[in-house]
Amino acid sequence: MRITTWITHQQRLASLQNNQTRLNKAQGQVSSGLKLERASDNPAGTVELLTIQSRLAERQQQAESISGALPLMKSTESVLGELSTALQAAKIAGLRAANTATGSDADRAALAAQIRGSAVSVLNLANTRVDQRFLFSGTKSDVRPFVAGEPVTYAGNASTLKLDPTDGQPLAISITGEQLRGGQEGSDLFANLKGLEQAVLSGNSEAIRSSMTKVDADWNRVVSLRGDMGARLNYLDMAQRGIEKEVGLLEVRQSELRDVDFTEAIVKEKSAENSQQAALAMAGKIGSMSLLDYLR
Amino acid sequence: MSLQGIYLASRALNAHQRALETTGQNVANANTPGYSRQVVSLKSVSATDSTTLSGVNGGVGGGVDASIILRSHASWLDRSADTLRAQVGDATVASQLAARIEGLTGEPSDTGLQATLDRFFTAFQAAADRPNDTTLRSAATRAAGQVADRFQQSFHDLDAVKRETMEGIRSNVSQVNSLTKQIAGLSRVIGASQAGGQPASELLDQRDELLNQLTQLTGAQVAGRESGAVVVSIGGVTLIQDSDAQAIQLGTDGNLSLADGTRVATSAGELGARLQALQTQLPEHRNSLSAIRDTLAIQVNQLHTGAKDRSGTAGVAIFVFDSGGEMSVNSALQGDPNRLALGDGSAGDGAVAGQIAQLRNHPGILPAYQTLVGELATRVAATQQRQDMAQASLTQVQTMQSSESGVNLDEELATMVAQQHIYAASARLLSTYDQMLDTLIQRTGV
Repeated sequence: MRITTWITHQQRLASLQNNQTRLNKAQGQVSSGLKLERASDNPAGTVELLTIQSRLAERQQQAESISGALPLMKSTESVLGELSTALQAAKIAGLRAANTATGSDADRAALAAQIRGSAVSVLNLANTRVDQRFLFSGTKSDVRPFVAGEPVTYAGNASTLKLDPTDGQPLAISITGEQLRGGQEGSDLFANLKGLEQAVLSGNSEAIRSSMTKVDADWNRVVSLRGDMGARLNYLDMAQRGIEKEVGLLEVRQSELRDVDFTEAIVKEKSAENSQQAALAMAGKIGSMSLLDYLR
Repeated sequence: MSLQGIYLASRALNAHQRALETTGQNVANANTPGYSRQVVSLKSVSATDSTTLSGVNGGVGGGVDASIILRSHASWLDRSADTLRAQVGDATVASQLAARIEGLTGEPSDTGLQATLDRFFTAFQAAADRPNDTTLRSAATRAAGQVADRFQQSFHDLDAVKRETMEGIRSNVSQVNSLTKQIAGLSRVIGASQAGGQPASELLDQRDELLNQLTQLTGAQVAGRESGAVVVSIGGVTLIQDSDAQAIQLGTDGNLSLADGTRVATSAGELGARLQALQTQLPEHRNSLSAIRDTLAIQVNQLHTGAKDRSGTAGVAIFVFDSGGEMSVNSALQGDPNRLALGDGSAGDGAVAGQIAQLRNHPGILPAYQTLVGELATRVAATQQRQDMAQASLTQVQTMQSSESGVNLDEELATMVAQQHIYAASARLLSTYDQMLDTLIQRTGV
């Protein structure tokens, strides 16, 4: 083929352009640390990256939600523990009253006072407020659940606070006042304690026994609610660990898709630099070569 | 002794002077776009052609004649080059436009629509956990505002690209009209010149260059490049016939037509790529994006109006549209964070906010957007590849053309040296004849 001045110029120009493009791309990757700068750099990878980033945002928020719920649930669990202790104290007082039904009025009054003290603790504990939220008022968490009186009234509602730790399966994370009081079984914790107190005062051993059965049932319920809360805490703990694991894997994949492997990028950049230097040197050499130099 | 030797030497001097001038022309135009190398056709002159005094010259020839100056042009490559130029024009503009739209989406980044939507869903999930927290409620309202802004920004950006494309088409149309007029004018001169027996090489080169620009712009079909009677047509409609050019115009419907209303359709060249973007790609992208926006607005509003705010009032639509179709956040929500309806109205119920956050998995919102970005990216990559391939093929054909018609400076210099020597030798011949005649005249008959 006949080579013309245009062809040599054009080829020189094209190879300089080529090297410049490669060098530019390599330098951009090294300086930005990203290998996926534009979606068209890797269309399939971009879609995967976007999906992963969306999933990451969702999972991180879920982990956040669980972290936010845990203190509330832990408080609920410990308050339920204290409630069972208070009920236990009332039960012991009741038991002693039942065993010493023939005791003096003063003895019975002292035991009744103990039970009343327990009832006050129970009411206070049931009105516990953590982080501006009442633990036992259902979703009306800004309302004090139990109002003292004869009988004690419930101002909360019957819906529990919920959390969605996995996709679309909400989990109850609170216990409503109704559940605590035993309203669903037609019972009333506060009335039962009051009943026991009065039975002890009266010294009627039949009445004390029947009141004791009711308070016993209340104690059992509180203990089982506590166990239930503990199980849910465990479940969320596991869910959170699962999420953290998934987030870790997703972040690794995100980095694989998006971030530059610096060793590789720098090697590429150096090689592009070298070929650019070679092309420039060549261009200079060819450009200076002409028959003109040899004509006198 | 005849004077034939003098004439012979004079013809040789003339011929090589012309050859040298042609070399000069070639060197001067080594870098002129579209220039075809000119070659002097040297021809020996036979004895009978030359003027002799005696009529008898013993069979010795009459020297040399530099007759025609040929344009060295590989015309068999013209058609391939035209097609490839149209492809390069098409692919270049198509990939520029696709990359422009791709750049507008800004994906993957922290500022794209995907990140904005993610923040919106996350904000609602956070509000679902603590529905009584006014800070989180305000954050959710703000996140909704950012979503609305991001969508509107995207539409405004697309409008800007549409305007740019329209401008590009208008400027292309006036370029085409100016080119066809110049080509027709040159054709008239070339026709006249060729009819008069003149080669018109430079004019053919000039017209070739204009035709090349025209094919790159429009993918026009060209016939009869070597004569005055060139015929240029676009999509089967003749634009130039001999020395008549017809102007094209851009209608309000975005279609091209001749003055008499004949529709001119082209999908090739830069103009074709711009027309296609205007008629297909831009509206399609816009429709996909507004489908995503509408799905989001409908789903979010439906959930929100089904819930109650903190005062127990039913929620209003979060996303509202004005008469121009612009989406924004309902002004009723702006001042009072408690107007956001997240559940049954109680302090602890954020069930509906949770459902709004779950919309992140709705197939018509984020997954649809991811598909859209993926398709766009694939198109950008494909058009760029198409451009590279067409450019490589065109370069190959241009190299072949240049190999035939281009100027090689070293070759010209070598030719020049040869011509210089022949010129010098011819001059020496002339002076030798002169001396011989001088000898004859001065030394005889004294």
